[in-house]
Order: sequence, then structure tokens, then C-alpha cells
Amino acid sequence: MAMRARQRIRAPRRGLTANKGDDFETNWADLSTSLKKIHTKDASNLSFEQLYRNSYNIVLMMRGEDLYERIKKLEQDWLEDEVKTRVTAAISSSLLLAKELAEVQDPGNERREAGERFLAAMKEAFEDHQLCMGMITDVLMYMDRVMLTDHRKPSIYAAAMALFRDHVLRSPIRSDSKTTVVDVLESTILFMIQLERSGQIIDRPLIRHCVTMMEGLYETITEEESSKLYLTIFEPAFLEASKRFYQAEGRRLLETGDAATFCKVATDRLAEETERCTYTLASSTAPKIKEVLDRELIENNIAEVVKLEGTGVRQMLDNDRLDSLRSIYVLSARVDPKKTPLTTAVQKRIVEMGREINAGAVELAQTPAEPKKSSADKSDKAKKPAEKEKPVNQQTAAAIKWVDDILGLKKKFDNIWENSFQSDHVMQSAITTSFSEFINSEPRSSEYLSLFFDENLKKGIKGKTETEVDSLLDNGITLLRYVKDKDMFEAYYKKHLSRRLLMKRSVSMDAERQMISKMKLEVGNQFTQRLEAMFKDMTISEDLTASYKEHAKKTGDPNTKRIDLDINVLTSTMWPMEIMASATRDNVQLGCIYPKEVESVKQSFEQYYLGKHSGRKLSWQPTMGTADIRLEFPRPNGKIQRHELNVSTYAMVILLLFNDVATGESLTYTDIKERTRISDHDLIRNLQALAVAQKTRVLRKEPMSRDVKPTDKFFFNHDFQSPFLKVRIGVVSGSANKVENQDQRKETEKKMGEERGASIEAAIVRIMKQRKSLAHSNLMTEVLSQLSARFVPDVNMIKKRIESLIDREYLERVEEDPPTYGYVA
Amino acid sequence: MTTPDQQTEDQDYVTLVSGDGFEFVLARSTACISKTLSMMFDPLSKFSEALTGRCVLENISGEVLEKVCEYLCYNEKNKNQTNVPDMDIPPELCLELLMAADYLDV
Amino acid sequence: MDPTLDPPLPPPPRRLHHRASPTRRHHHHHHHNHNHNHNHHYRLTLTARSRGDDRSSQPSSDPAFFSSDDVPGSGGLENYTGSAAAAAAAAATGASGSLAGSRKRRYRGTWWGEKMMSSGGHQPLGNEGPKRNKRVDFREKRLVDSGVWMGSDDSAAGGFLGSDASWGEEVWGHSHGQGQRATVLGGLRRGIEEEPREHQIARAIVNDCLERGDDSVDLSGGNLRSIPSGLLRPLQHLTKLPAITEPPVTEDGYASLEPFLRLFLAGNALPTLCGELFELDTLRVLSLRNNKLTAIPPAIRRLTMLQEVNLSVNRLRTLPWELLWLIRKGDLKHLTVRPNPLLQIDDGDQDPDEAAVVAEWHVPRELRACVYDGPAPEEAWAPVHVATGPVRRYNAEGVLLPAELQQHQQQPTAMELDATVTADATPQDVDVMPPPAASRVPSLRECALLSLARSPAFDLLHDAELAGYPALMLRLLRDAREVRAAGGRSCSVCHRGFVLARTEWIEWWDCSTYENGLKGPRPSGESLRPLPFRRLGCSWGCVPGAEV
Repeated sequence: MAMRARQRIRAPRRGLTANKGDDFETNWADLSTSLKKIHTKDASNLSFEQLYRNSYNIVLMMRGEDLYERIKKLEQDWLEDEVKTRVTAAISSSLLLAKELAEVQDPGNERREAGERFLAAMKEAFEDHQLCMGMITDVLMYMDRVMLTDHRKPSIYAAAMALFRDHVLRSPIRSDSKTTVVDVLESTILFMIQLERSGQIIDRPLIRHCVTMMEGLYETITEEESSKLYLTIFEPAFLEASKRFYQAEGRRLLETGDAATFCKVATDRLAEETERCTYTLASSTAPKIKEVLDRELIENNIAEVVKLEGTGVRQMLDNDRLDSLRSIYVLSARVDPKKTPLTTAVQKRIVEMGREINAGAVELAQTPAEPKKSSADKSDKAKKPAEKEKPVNQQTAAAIKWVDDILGLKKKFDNIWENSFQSDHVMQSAITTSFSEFINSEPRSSEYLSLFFDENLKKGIKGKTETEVDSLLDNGITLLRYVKDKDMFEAYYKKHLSRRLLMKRSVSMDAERQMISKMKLEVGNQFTQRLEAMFKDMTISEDLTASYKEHAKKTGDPNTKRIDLDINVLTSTMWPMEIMASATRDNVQLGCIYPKEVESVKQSFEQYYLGKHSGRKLSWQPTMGTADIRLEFPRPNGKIQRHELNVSTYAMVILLLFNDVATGESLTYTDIKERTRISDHDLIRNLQALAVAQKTRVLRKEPMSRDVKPTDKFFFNHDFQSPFLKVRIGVVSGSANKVENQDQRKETEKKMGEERGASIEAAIVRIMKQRKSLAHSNLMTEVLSQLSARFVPDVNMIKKRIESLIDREYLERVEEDPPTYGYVA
Repeated sequence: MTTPDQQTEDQDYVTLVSGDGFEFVLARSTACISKTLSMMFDPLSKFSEALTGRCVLENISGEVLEKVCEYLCYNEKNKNQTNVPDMDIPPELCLELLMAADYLDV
Repeated sequence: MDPTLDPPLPPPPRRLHHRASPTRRHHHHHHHNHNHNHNHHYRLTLTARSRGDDRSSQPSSDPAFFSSDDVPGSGGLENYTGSAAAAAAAAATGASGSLAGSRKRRYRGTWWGEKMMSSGGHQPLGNEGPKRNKRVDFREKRLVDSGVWMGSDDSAAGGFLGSDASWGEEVWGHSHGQGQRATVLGGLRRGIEEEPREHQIARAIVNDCLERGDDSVDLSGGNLRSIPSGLLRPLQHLTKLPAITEPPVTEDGYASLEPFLRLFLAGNALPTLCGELFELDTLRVLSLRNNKLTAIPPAIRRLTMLQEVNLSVNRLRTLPWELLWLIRKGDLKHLTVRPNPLLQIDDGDQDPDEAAVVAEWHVPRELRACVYDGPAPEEAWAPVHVATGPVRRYNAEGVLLPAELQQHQQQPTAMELDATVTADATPQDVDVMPPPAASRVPSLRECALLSLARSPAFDLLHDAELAGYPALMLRLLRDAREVRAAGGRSCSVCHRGFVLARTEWIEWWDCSTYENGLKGPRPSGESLRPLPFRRLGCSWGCVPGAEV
């Protein structure tokens, strides 16, 4: 212990005076010989430890940098003398042909074989280099450690890789040539890819190896990712070549002129390039080559492909080519989120087809009513069994067909949208826009649609299951969605509904209510408010009738035995205008004179009703009512034939006149008119129904003709025959809902205009009341937005209404610039 | 990974030989804690050490190499421990061990 | 910017404040922060200052310009010394009288911001060093400043391989002729000469204290550039005499005979501290104010009796983790660290070069304040862990791994701290996922170095003997020497002694209650003012959140 006190720490001296190899050159000689052996793959007799120790010793001699430089020199010599020679020897002249890639076809084989030989040589050279340098780097690790920490030099491995880059890849293939090895490598790989693109099989792993080499070599010694040779040299060349290739391919495909082929090729190419990047090149290239493809092949051509005559989108749509449509959609979506060419083409076609439907409806409406069979044929096509049973006005048939055709078209495009357009939202709104466009271009769309509902609710849904009814109504609602002037639809629907309700023509009240709730969902509360009020009136009326009957029974009015009264009390503002309009007219004129019996019942009810609801006014609407009359016809055989006639209120009034007319005597038109005070219009129609219509001639007219003249005489027809006990005598025109004629239509539009004006004014006043003062443009915007759910207001109309409100001192001009209005309280 | 046949049964152990002829047999994984040794015995390497599983460390004495091996075992044993006990190193060996550690990169 | 994080930049430097008399005169020193010093002095009797006062030691009130003889009076602690200190100072003045004319060091601007100095700042110094008209960089500046220091050597510091040793040489060469700066290798160093005067004086002071049993050792303002070997060690054995002859200047005079050891090294030029200092295990008070310290060795942890430390006016970017340990586990109650160019948390507002990135927050970012209801909870007194910086890893040779190799297994667990949670002073307990356990076994190099660093024979090893050793190894040996000289290190995670750190990171803790001398808890709503503590780990397994 005491001895050790001084010499406690043994300082090893070996680091300085290793037994042998204590001079640089000796160590280097050993080392260099061994390194060469490594290159010649003769390493199995070499000792790692010895080489490591050699380099360690040199580093300890502070000659690390010299060692580093010597090794670099040794590697450089090896690469230049051996490796480069081997690689350039593998380059045959066919590889040096013009780089033009287009002429692939025949000389291909020779060049291809030469190319493979060269690539294989390249691959082997690099793999050898990597392997040897791996071993050498391991052995020289001690030197590397010192170099890295103390001299900030790149590792010997990185340095040797840079040497490979400079002295093999970048060396000219012949001393007199400017072409370098890497140029040949690039053109050879591109050639191979070209071959593969033209459908040949190539040696992918071989190319992959060469690509890996370029990925393992860098432009800079610091080896940044971005300085990989693959990225700096090969990839740009590849992308450029691909660009040219796809430009040409795009032209070629357009020349062949088949859109489906184009789609298929483009789709296949996309997959092919992705696969190429995965297996042959680098996956980092995939997005870039796809970009080239997208731009050069797809984006630049898609518009023309869509429009291709005879094979383009139009034909795909017409023939429901779902697969082709799908690929063209997918391709479009790649390059343009709006898919402009495709949407344009689809929209164009929808509008065309829609206008055909519109035109078809007009045409059908104009065909004469007489060829009932042909109309039935048509409706067969439209799957309307109801039409077989009863002749329907041609106009109405046209309306039904119109709706059905649109629904068919809609179904077609729904199918395409779902299956081909991947339920894309952009496509959806484009389709919707187009449907809306052509539907609203048909001025009668609202009326047609309402008729469609009317027809179905009256007959169409008979015998259908709930689900069927539901989907039928839903289809209609779908169309309603497209209709812009919802107020117009409402007007027609109200009119049609009122007839269904008052004449009890609805098949199912459940379906009616369902319909209302569907509309409520689709269009909103406000829209269905008035329709619902109509239903409410009906319900209240039922109760009222019942309670009146109860009342009549109690008071013991004898008339109750003979006349049964079913009453419908309608709130005047909620029901269609034309019904109520006649009411106002009747106020001016004198009302119809009812038969005594009826008049007393009427008065009795009025008394009862007004007793319950004081302050109300009842006005009677004989045009809307019906009556059941029992008639007895004594027959020559002594029997008495009984019939129950269901007639309009007016017809009942007319028929009851004949109770007081002796057999064989007659009443003239004028007589009837005087005694009943029924307006000419209604009287003529009712008399036609009673005396002209073949099956319901309860009256006999002289002279027998279609027209009714004031001098015509009417007799009670005792010989009335009918196979049925109950006979319905409809009033000619009016009992059924059908398409309006031109005049009616104008009338409706005029009324609609008035109502819209009122709506606009109401909206303006509402807004101004709230805002007190508002600039003109803001007011316009708000009015438009408030009303758009019901209809699209005409801007001029709004302006006029504003003027009118100013005149009436609801509003005033507050400012001129910008024009601003104020609310006058 | 292909190892020469004569190696197969011994491949989990390697032999370290000191400059003065002492031999130490260690599990391969233990020896490979040293970066230098791990490269030396890398089966992919074609050097004689990798082929034979035996390596002569000319400039390390038996005394030091013994301590190095002791360390390698100590390291292997404690590699997952939270509380690693100290390894006793006689001060007089410190410098030589430091040299060896530098040489073997451990 | 959170104003509490660190002092704002000081006001621009004022003109040189030239003093007619070069002698020290701290006894009639009229410095503008005089009152403040008294606050320190009577801290036990005065009521608590507002914490804003704390900043009075910061540049806003510190002199933008001061000279070395400002110092003895400027540190509050120094006033403990009373007349004894005055006497010692007088002795020192006398002894160095011949040099006094040019001895005074002057600083312009802040103690750390000495990067720029116009020639105008130097002109009044006259004979001192060469004139410089160019921008003077930091290192050169130091040379100029110490150019007056002549003819001495750090003699016993011959064992130092550290840069400061060769520094002296450079300075020496420099003072003899401009541009003659030779890098002098250790082997060529001159032999032991006469010990420099300031060392002699220091020894005299220590001896005097030992003789008189004075447990207040004042070495402040002694121009010490290093602590000579053997200077402090005898103080371990200081025995206190009954205070009979000594007038009752301080209350200590009547205290027990157990020494209440206080050491004042303020106002010197110490760039590093020696291990000997940390052997004074009975040390209660330590002032290192106004030196050139760039780091406090982790060995400070050995001073477990320490109650008060002053580290202000140095060049500290970080504090040793062990200082926090002394607060939390030891007796340390009064910590003065500001001002120092302490590393700031990168808040986005800071200069990115000056601030550190945070890997993980331990208190809600928005809240960084102490909030509580009712009486102050215990946490309101305790240090608060505010944030943790990213871990830097070193390889077995002590070289920082390049960025791409820094294993980032420990992602900044950006905990979604709910800002609405009432944050009391308790740091949120965070489950930091430990990185997939890296081995904690020391490398063989480390084992050997540690053994060496603990061996007294290490000091006997001469540089000459090591010539020709692998360069990599020499660097390790140099590191080991430095660690040994600074009193050793132990892992802040597993407490194992070590030489080469393998991990390093910063933790920010708010210690404001201790900075204030533990007068009161943080008032509710007080914002936190974290200090950077540097932690070292001995293995890659020793990282934040690692199992202990």
C-alpha cells in the first residue's frame, strides 16, 4: 500500500509505444493492403481487430487526417480504375441512341437487353461499393470518431459515397464523350419505363436497385434529404418524360373519340403509375407523377372528353352507363372540385330532357279529347289505372303525365348520382338547380303538380298500401321542392282541396292529412296554415251539423223528417278565392230563391247558428253544395221505380220546381231563371247536366240540342231510366278538377298577382316597422329573403309596392343617397 | 442471416483473447455492449473474427481485459435495473481501463 | 411579457463615473441603494418588504455603472461583518497599495452585457491596457479588464487544465506587449513563483479568523481570481472563542460557541468555485455576490447547513438543481440570485436566443400565479414547479447528440390543463410517461473516470505523463478534473455520483418566498417568477419523470 501511494495510477504506455507498427507508413501499408483485399472480396482472412488497431495507432500518432485523406485517395483510385471501367464497359452503343423515347417499338429488344446488362453492372458496382465501404467504415470507426468530433469531417462512408458519385456516376462514358454514366443510367431507366408503359414486362427489381442507389447518394456531403441524386437528377427527368408521354397519350385518346375508353385508360394509368412508384421507383414520387397525370392527361382533356360526340356524357346519361359515368366523375373530381365540364354537361342534359317533358305535356294537352283510347294508351304507359275507368280531361292527363315523367327523370338521375357520382354534393346541387330550372320554366308546373296530388288523392291511392301511398306523396313533394312559386301551388292546391273536401271526393282523409304534414315539413308552417284551417272548418261543420240535428229534433220541427241538412260552414278567408268571390257577387245580386221546404230549413239553421255565434254572417254557396233527391217513377207495368239522385244544389232547386208542374207541361228557361234567380252561367250548366247529358236526363228539353237557349222548354222526364238506384248527376265542368283554360288561368294569375302584392306590402311594412329606417337595397334584400320560401317576388313589383306605400303614407323617403326609407308610424 | 456452419453452435458465445494470451468467453450479446466488438462480430461482416467468433485484442492485457469483461457482465446484468450498484474499479487500473473503454467504445 | 420572469433590460449605460480616489472607502460609501442594503441588514427586525422591493436589486435600481470598490458595501450580507470586516478591508488596502492606482475594475452597463464598449469608456482608465477603438468582444474585454493584473500566476492552480489557467497566461503575455498573445500549453507553464498578493492577503484574513475564533470570514473585495488551494479548508476546524474581548457589535457575540460560519467572497473576480469551498459543511452563510461566476457547482448540495446564499450580480444563466434541493430538503431560507442573466422561459415575447423552450408546463399557462382562498395553504410557501425544458442527451463521451438523434420519446406532454381549474400553489401532478427505460448502467468510461475523480492520486497525475494518450481520452480526463475541482457531481435523479452528464434539462421553479428570506407566503394572486434550475442526469434513464 505504502509503495503504491506514489504510483497509484499506472499510466499505460502502450498507446505511445506499440510494439510494432509504430510508424505511420508501416501501419498504412498494412491497412491499405487489407482494404484492397476487402474490395476484392478477400476479407475472410483479415482480422478486424488488426485493422482497427492499425487505424487506432495512426490516429494516436495524430495522423488521423492523413489517414482519412489516404483512404479517400485509395477509394478514388479504386473507383476510377476498377469500378468505372467495369460500368462503362457495360454500356453498349444501342444505349446511346437518341434519347427520343417515342420510337420504342422495334429496336426495342436490342436496346432493352443492353440496358439490362448495364443496369445490372451498375447495381453490382454500387452494392459492392456499399458493402466494402460498410466494412471499411466499421474498421475505421476509431478514425471516424475522432474526425467527427475533432475535425468535423464527414464520415469516411459519406465521403466514399461522394467519391462514387463523382468518379463513377459523373464520369464520362468515354474520355472523348460528354455523356456521363448517370446520363445513360437516366435514359436507360426512362426507356425501360417507356417499355412498361407500352405494355411490356420489364425487370422491375433491377430498376428498383438503381433507384435505391440514386436515393442513397447525395449532392452534398451533409446529405440533406432534398439533395438525393434521385430527387435532383432522376425524378425531374422522369416527370418531364412522363409529361410528354401523357400529352401525347391525351391527344391519341381524343382522336379515337371514345369517352369510355379514355376514362378506362386514364383510370388504369393512374393505378399503373402508383404501382410503378411503389415497386419500381420511389413512393415519394407517387404524388408528383399523379399530378402530372392529372394535369396533362385529365385536366387538359376532360372537357373535350365530356363533350365527345356520340360517346360523351350525354350518351352515357341517356343510356345509363353508370360505370362510365362513375369513372368520368372520379377523374373529374381529381382535377377540379367543381367538376365544371361534367356538371355543365349533366345540367345541360337535364334541362333538355326536362324541356322535352314540358313540351310533351303541352302537346298532349292540345290533342283533341275525342280519341279516348289513344289517351288511355298513353296513360297506360304512365301507369295510371285510374284513367281507364274514367275519361279524364286531356289537360289533366297531360298534367299527370308531366309529373310522372319528371319523377321518372328524377329517379334516373338519383340513381346516377348515387351510383356514379358517389353522392357528391356539388353534383347534387347542380342536378337540383337544373331540375328547378326546367320545372319553373313550365308556367303551369304548380297547377300540374297540384292536379297530380288531386288525382291521386281522389283515385290513385285506392287499394294502395300505406307505404306505397307514402312514397307516392313523397315523390310529389320532391317536385314541390323545385317549384319556386310556392304560393301559386298553394292557390291551386287549395282550390283542388276545397272541391275534394266539399264534394267528399277524397279517398282517404288520412292521406290528406299526411299530405298536409309532409308539406308542412317541406315548405313550412305558414304554407299549410290555411290548408289546415280548411280541415278545421270541415271538422267543426260536422259537429255543427250533428248538434243542429239534435236541436231540430228537440224543437220538433216537422221539416226534419223530409229534409236532411248537412252543413259546411267555411271561414271565408281560408277558402279559395273563386268560391268566396262568388259569395261577394251574390251579395250584390239577389240570392237564389230556394224552394219553400229548403228555405225554411235554411232559415232554421241560420237562426240556430247565429244564436250560437252572434255577429257572424252566413252566406250560402249553392254552387258548392249537393243534394240527394228521392224520385219515384211510376212505370207502365204499375211498378214504381225509385231512384236516388245526387245533384248539385242548383239542380235540386230546379228539379223541385217540377213538383208543381203537371205532367206534360213544361217550363221555359226564362221561367226557371225567374223562379230561381240562378245566374245564367250556373243555370245553363245545371240544365245541361239534367237535360243534355245522355245518362242523366231527368229533364227533357225541347228542342233537343246541346245548347241551352232562353226559349227552350223543359219537361220532367218520366221515362228516366237508369240501371243504378243511385245516380250521380255531375254539373258539367266544375265538379272535377282539371287544368284551367286560358281565361281561367289569366284570372288565376291576376289574383295571384294581387295576393303577391299584398304579401309584399305586408312584408315591407313588417320590416320597416321593426327597422324604422332602411336603405333601399337593404329593404329589397330583406323582402326577397322573407318571401323566397313562398315565391320569387318580381323586383319591379316590390318597387311599385314601395311607391304605393309611400303614396299611402306608410313610408317616407328619408334620404336620397343612398335612397333610404323611413317608417311612418 | 447466414453463418458458416462451424460457427452455428458457438454463435451465442464469443471468445476474447488478451494481448498476453488470456481467453474470456462471453455471451455474444454481452460482448456486443461494446460498439467495437459488436461491429467486429457482426455476422454480416466478412472478417475473420465474425467467422470464428474469436478475437485477439493485442493491446489489452489480461488484467485489464478481465475487468472489461467484468464490466460487460455488470452492464448486461443491470441493464434493466433502476438502482444500479456501483462497480468497483481499483484506481490504479483506471487509466488503463479508460484506454480500453476508448478503444472498445464502451 | 410576464414581468416577473426576469428583470427587464437595464437602462442604457451612463457615462463613466470617474472616481478621483482609487482607494476603497466603503465605510463612507454613498451609494444610492444604500437604504436597500440596510434593509437586508436588519431583515429580522423590519417588517416584510413588499415584493416589489425585491426588484430593487435589479438593474432598475442597481448602478448601471459601478466599479469593483462599489462592491463591499453593496451586498447586504457584507454588513454582518461589522468592524471586523472594515479592519480586514483596511489591511487589504494597505497591502495592495502600490497597485491600487490601477487596480480598480470598472464595468460599464450591466455585469453581463459587457459585449460592447466604446473606447470612450476606457479613456479615463489611462494607463490601463491598450486603447481600443473597435468593438471589443467579450473575451477580449475580459483581457482588457484584467490587464492590470500583473506578474502573478495562479501557482497552485497548476493543476487546472481549465481555460482560466491559460487565460492568465494570455493576459500575462498580453500585458507585456499587444498582439503577443501566445497560447501557452500546460507543459510550458512557469514554475511556482511567489504567491500573488491577494492570495497572501486572503490567507492572512483566514488565519486571523481562525486565531480569533471569528466565524465571519470576509474575503470580499479581495480581487481574487481564484480561490487558492488550502485557503478555505482550515475553516472546517474553526473554533469559536468566547466573545469576551470583542465588543458586542453583533448579536452573534452572545450566541453559542458553535461557530455560525459565514463566508463572504463578494466583489471578487471568481470565474469558478473550487471543491474546497463545499467541504465547509458547517457553512451557514455564503455570499458570492458580484463575481464572474458562470455556474454554481452542484457540489453546493454538500453545504447542508446553509441558511443564506447570495449569488447576485454574476453571470449565471442557470442555477444548480441542488440549490433547490437545499431549499426543499435543507435549511436554506434566504436565496438571493437576482440580478443574473438567468435563462427565461420562452413565452413568445422573449428574444429566442435568450429564452428557453418549454417542453412541458406544470401550471396552467394562463394562470402562472398563485391563487387561493382563505388562509395561505402550505403550498403558498413552497417552491412551485412551473415548467420543464426539453432534455438534451449526451453520448458516452460527453458529446451532445445531434438534434436528429435526440430521442424525443418524451414528447412535450401538452397536458390540456383546464384554465378554469382553480389553481392553488400546488403544481399539478403530471404523469410523465417515462421513455422506454433506457439503461441506467454507467459506461465503462464513466466508471473509470468516476473512480479516477474520486482518487486523490488523480491530482498527482501530470499532464506530461498523459501526452500521447488518445485525444478523446484526454478530453475526458480534463472533464473529470474539472468535476473533481468543483467538488464532484451527483445525479439529480438517482443521486449516483458521476463525471459525464448524459442528460441535461432545465426546470423552472418559483422560489419567490425564499428569495424573500421566507417572510411570508405568496399573497393570493401573486404571479409566479420562476428561476431556472439546471438538472443533470447520469444516464439516459435519468430524465424528467424517471422512476427513482
